[in-house]
Amino acid sequence: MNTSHTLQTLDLEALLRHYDFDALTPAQQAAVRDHLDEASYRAMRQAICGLRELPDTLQPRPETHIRLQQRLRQQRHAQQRQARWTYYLPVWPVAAAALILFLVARLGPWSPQEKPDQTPQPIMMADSTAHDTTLRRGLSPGEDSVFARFGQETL
Amino acid sequence: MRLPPFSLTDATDEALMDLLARERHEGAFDELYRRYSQRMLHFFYRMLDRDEAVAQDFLQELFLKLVEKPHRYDPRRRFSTWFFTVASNMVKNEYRRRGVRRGEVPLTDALPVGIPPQEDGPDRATLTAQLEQALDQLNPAQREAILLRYREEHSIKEISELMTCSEGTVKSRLFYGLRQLARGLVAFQTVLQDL
Repeated sequence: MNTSHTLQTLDLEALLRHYDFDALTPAQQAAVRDHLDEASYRAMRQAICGLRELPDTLQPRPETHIRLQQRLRQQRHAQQRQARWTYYLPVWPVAAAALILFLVARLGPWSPQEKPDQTPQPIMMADSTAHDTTLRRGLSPGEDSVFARFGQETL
Repeated sequence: MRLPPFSLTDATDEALMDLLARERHEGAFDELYRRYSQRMLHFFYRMLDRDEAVAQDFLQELFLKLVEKPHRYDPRRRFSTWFFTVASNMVKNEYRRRGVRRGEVPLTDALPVGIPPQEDGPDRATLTAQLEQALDQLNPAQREAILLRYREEHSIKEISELMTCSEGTVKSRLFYGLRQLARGLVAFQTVLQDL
């Protein structure tokens, strides 16, 4: 019987049963247990060494690195944009406040506005209507006097 | 861009991470990637049923977290401990997503099958194969503790911090995991042949 091959599929308890462990004398049982313990510790040491020396044969996909670098660049640009906004941000409230103050000072109810003159202003139409004698009939007395004076001067 | 006043290859992980968080420094990222990508890939590979495609995806996701949320790194912690914590949480989430409840694997299942015994002791390749197979049979917590301790060489304290459990629990996981690993090794069976 290929003992080692059989052992591969057995657990420790099954192994002990397989060898009729109970039939052994207590001294023999103790010897077997010691042997197993020692073997177990040896195997543990071997496992630790094996773990430290496990080969790392896999390689990360090259496109992963490229993709991550691109993402990092995007992040950096976003950070720079944000930094610019953060830099200009304090200017905004100051500018807005200044604009509001200006508008209030200029257009507010206490602003020094000139009252519009309600008296009718003389219409200076002399040059444009001088040649049209028919218009002279509708002129105001003051204007008429202007034309009268003009007439006198030319006479 | 302002250049760092030191060589990136000589910089500590923490300094690189600081640079990455503050300036999104590409050189710092590349150096961290160089140092950790393969280690993390194998960590995922061994923790996730040795599925290379899944491990590669997890690697990308892990580094994406580093790129997108570097401010989550706590500078008071050692970078590698923090980074493995993130990776470990990703693995736990994956187990949860799959709905896998992995308890202690019965010993009968833990012993490897199908690998022919060696005439003159296990050679390196066989040992590696058996060890990988035995690692698969451990429950996730034991496997993680063992990989972090003996593969990544983190201290017990760091592992307890990383796995959010007591140091005693870590030691216990290490002991039982190691014992189970040992039972899975060819060398153990070779010794048994002598009985």
